Amino acid sequence: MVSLALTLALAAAVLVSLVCGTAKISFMDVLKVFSDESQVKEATRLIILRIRLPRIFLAGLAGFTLSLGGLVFQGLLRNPLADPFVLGVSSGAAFGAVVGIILGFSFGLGVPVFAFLGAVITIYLVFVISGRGMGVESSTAILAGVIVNAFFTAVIMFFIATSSEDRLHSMLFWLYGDLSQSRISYSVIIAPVAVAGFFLLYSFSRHLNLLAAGEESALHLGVDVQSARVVCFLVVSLMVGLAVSFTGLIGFVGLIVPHLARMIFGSDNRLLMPVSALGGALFLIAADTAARTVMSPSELPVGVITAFLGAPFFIYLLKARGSRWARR
Amino acid sequence: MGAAMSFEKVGFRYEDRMWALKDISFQAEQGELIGILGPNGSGKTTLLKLGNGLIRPKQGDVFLKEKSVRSYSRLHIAREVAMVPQETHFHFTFSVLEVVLMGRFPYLKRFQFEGERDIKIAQGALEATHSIEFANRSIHELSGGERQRVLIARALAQEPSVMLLDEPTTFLDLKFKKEIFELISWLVRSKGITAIVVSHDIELASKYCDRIIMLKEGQMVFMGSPHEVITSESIKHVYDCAAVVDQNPVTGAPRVSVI
Repeated sequence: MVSLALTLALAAAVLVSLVCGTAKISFMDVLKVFSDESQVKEATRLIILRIRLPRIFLAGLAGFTLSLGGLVFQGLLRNPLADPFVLGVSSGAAFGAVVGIILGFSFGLGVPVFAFLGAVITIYLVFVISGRGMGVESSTAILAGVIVNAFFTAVIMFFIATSSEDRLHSMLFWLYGDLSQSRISYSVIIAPVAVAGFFLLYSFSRHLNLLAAGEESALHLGVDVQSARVVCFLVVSLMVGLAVSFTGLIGFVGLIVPHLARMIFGSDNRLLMPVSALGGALFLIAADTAARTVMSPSELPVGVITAFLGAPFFIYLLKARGSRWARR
Repeated sequence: MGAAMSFEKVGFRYEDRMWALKDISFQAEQGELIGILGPNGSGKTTLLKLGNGLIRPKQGDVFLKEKSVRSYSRLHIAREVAMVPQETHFHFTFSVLEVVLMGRFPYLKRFQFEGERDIKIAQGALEATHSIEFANRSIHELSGGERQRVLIARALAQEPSVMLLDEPTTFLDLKFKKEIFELISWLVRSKGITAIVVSHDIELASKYCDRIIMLKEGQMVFMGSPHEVITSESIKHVYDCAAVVDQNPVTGAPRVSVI
């Protein structure tokens, strides 16, 4: 039911987002593009199908994977601060992507592979640093993530500082999340991975519920904690790595959306997974629509919008709930 | 009446450290309540972990319904053995009913939701532990004693043949301590569950348990009925603490007074 409502909201958001933009295109024109092509101008058709739609799809998919990743990380590590960005997966993926770009690979296939490798290497590093016999110490994992994050960001900044002038601008944009270069082919690559990843993660949703009371408690109830953890971390790394390689670094989505979902719907991951994923898509489409309209005709990186909304929202959460975080 | 769980010459140590447990042999019969006593570090918790297969014995073997625990999968063990820890902290908010339904995990398939039967079993478990009135409250709103009852309910929802309890009364006050022991004892008598309780409450354990095992430095030093085991000599030997043991004038259970 809730998922259905969110899907409808998502469809509505896509339509609204199609209407908004620098070029004035009416709602009726948008509808006509999909129903009766002959009645609209060629330019309108191109703007809708070639520019806005690919971008909306990419934003939606990125939001979907990032907030799903955040939800799963928070559950695995039992820490409200965990998300792909904080744990360094995003910047690891970004690092991989930058290395790929520098080595001259194209965006088509090479760069995502590098981004994925970067993400997996990061999660492995975080694991090794925070690992301790059987379990992973969650606050150590967060700290390890922050450190790895800082390191990779420094490396990326180094590359930017040493690269040529005009690449610099686009890379800077990319660091704050850049959806302006979207092509429909990107979404075609991400979508199957995101959908398959969702179902794989969903099959672990009950495992994640049981992990809320600690790893040992989950073991008592028959959860194979080790394999659940490895599979979930790998799947999230793959999804996020892939998405980030096309969109650049977009922060806060993986924190805000799952926490909002928890505030409204409780802690059952079977419900939270679809809600967070769809909610994340909705949120990022809205944020990106804002990013390309508020300063029209110039654009903002979408990460600026998410951080701009995210930081105050987080402070509010922190103040309103104090240390009682996820408890309610 | 076969043994629900038996230890045969079990030894365990962590890597190359000292033996945490040595030569442990006993049989827990179906419907028996066994108390494990001993000072800190005597291997009580290790013994429970061996019982539900979280760690594997380095010597001897642990048997569950006459089959080695090694031959069970994690999921399969969870259908036979339930564990109640000292204290459980939930990092996210769940309702009491949701927590108890978690006990159904070992019976559900990957994409399966809890059905009517599971909810009935969970409600039954909540009724048995007198906590049905909390069913819709958040687990975080409960007091320590209430929460411990809910965790026993979760263990019951696993429909286990053996329940292991690791100092379930440590953080509770006197009234709740007694309540928990009464509950365990009632479950053992009425449902035929075998329970092994690790405890520091010598008097409560000896009032409710059928048999007491005393551990010292990883070895079983005494085993028998509470009256046989709880003596001033055994307390002195195991806890290194002088005590007078006489009978409680009302219940007849051994009474320990430290001197």
